[in-house]
Amino acid sequence: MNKLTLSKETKITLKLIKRDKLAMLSLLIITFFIIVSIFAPFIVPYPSQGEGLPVPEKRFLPPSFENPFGTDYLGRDVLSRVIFGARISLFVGIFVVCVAIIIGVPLGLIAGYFGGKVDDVLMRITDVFLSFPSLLFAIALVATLGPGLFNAMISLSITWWPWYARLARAQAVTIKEQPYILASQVIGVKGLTIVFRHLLPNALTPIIVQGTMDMSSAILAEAGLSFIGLGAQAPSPEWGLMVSTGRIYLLNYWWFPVFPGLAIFLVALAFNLFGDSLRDVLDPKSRKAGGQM
Amino acid sequence: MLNSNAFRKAISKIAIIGIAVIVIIAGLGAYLYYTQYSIPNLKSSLVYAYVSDFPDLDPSIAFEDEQVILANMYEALVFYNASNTNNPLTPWLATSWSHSPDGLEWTFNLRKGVLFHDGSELKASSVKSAIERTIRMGLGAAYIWDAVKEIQAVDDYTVKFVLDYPAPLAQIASSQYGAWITGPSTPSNDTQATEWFNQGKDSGTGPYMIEKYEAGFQVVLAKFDKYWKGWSGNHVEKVLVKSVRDPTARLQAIKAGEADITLDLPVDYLEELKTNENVRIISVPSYRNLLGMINTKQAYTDNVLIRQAISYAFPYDAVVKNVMQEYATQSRGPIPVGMLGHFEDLTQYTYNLEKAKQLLSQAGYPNGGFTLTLTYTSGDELEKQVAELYKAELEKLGITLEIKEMTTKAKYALARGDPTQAQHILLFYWWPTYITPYDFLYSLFHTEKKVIFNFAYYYNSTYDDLIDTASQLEGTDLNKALQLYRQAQEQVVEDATSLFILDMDTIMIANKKVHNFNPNSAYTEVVFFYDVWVEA
Repeated sequence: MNKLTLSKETKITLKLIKRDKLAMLSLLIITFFIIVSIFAPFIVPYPSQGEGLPVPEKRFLPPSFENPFGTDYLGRDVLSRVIFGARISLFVGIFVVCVAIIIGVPLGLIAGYFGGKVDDVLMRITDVFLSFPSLLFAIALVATLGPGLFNAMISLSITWWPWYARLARAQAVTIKEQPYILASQVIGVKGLTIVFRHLLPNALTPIIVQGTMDMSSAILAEAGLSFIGLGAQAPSPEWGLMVSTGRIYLLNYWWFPVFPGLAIFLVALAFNLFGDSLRDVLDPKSRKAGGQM
Repeated sequence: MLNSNAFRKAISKIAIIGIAVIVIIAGLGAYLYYTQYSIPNLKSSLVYAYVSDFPDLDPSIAFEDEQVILANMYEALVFYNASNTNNPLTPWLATSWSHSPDGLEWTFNLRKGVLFHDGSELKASSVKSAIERTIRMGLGAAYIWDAVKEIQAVDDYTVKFVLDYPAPLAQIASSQYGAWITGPSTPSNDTQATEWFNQGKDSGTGPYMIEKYEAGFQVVLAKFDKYWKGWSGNHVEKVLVKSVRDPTARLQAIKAGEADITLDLPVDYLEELKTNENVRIISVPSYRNLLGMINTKQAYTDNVLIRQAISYAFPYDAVVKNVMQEYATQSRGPIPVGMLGHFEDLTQYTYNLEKAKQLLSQAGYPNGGFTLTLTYTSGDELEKQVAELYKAELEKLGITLEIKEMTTKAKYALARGDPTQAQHILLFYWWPTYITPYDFLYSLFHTEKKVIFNFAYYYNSTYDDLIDTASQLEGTDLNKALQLYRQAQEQVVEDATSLFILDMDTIMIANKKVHNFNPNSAYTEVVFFYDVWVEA
């Protein structure tokens, strides 16, 4: 592949994405959240409250000009906390998906390319991981590692990588019959070099699509773990934790659980829609098939 | 001869008139019945939406929340009327009592004509065997009878207790745990009896009997016809005690009128209820306090200066005003406000970060730089908020507070292990079994061979002697005893063995149609259903 074709492909991709209004909207939401979370300490009204400083005399103030999203049970500005929470959630999403890809994809490609016993061993291991319901498996892992945001991320990554291993293996199996791979083999390129120099770049498209869509699942799963008390711990402004704490106040002080819940919803939806569009754009086959997978 | 047609017409006319008359009379009657002649002021049943269920209905063993039910089915020898601070001990099953000058012999005269639910009469022998059963089983609150050497049924209506060492037996006999008098229908085999009780059977003398028992969900109580106080006047005949764990559900139940009485709603809900025309909020001192037991055996907090420093760093006012909205007061020592042995002029820590910093410097940590762990029970909103507020304050001193949310079981398992590996601070509540300062001072800070509730791991023989002596004097020389209790309290406050955080109020919410409902601080969360009545 040379530079020219790549940029041409990219151009087509961008054009297609631009034409897709839903994709643009979701991209806009994602970009918004990313920018907001990067500059969180500079744009939130009350940075110290966002990080957890209580203001006991301002508990449960309804949304107002001063506190657009109201205040929570310790008097902290909910808007500031939701924005700080975006940092955590996006980071968790990216971390979990990246770790899962880093572990899963090489294993899948190796299994697919070399086949035989290597394939058998690696795939049976992934099968073992896949045979547990993933959230339950994550809960069990966190329970042994101890509750905490980092442990929650680790356990989610561990439950997530087998999906990528499978995906990458399927890709490797098809691609390894391509003439350019055969050509590399003929001129004596080593197996692992072929896997990482030639297989990997060509197998990336479906993995990126899957990764984008999994961002939303990872964010949701982590929020779920925090909700049941196994993920982020107070006073972290993690969204799931905020919803969990605010749950019992829903009837009287709705703003406390509703805004973080809304944030989870928006981000998860945006990643999901964007992943969908990306798949349609990058994969002509599924575009024709009307978006089924 | 009458035309048969005309005859038929006449008959039908009569029938029509007859029906009309009957309808009018019936309508008029119903109208009068429902307006003038009905007595619309009484409802015969009441619903109490309670927080938890009742794990053990055996009156000899029960040691959690079962008093809520048991106090309505059973009675004790003596009643503790907490609202009468000067003379709280009032007759119940015993009409009078006296003790020998040395406090080693206590005689109770029993009320005559009291019937157990099986119809047999209350006799001295039943009292003897009931309390002996509690002592023999040695479970729950059986320890309150530790001083008792022998129980004698002098005659049918006189019971005599002979003690090993002096103890305030009248107070002990008014305990809300382990002092209920069971009757002869109790199975003689102790463990079989426990099973029998937990099937929803009872053998008390109280105004109500269990009609239906669904473990974990609800208890239906129905009146005992031959109750010794009788049933004239206004009373409820049937009571449903429901276990409703979710505070939101309890709030909805009381708002919708599905429950007549409920309790333990987060204070943040009360603001809304205050404006509700149908309910009223009743708050009384609960004799229950929130403590943050400080580990005196663990690194850092084994230094009394650091313990005092972190006692000065607690935001007492913010918690009382903002979190509890004044439905609690800052504790003054371990004995809660309103209770025997509470002193309004005892030393008290206040929120003072300057003082805290100064003490930390003295201890050699002017800028903090260490981590303390705090454990609290998962699901407890108050403990959680207290912990988070405290964390923010300690941070200002450079101390990191690691908050661990744990199940009660896990929290106690950690606390009952090796003290040097346990938590630094443990949040929990304490309330008395029977009303004596000794209950708090012994359980919380007396030397223990094996850790039970002394989560400060405080071992001080001078302190032990003080309270042991005081306890023995309590029945005979109360003033002297209180003086010693005071000394002991000053000692634990000075040693900063615990954060003395809040003396809680019991906040009960009742429908305005519920009358004559006066919670008694000595019987935690109990509604004496016999006393209240409900307007229809």
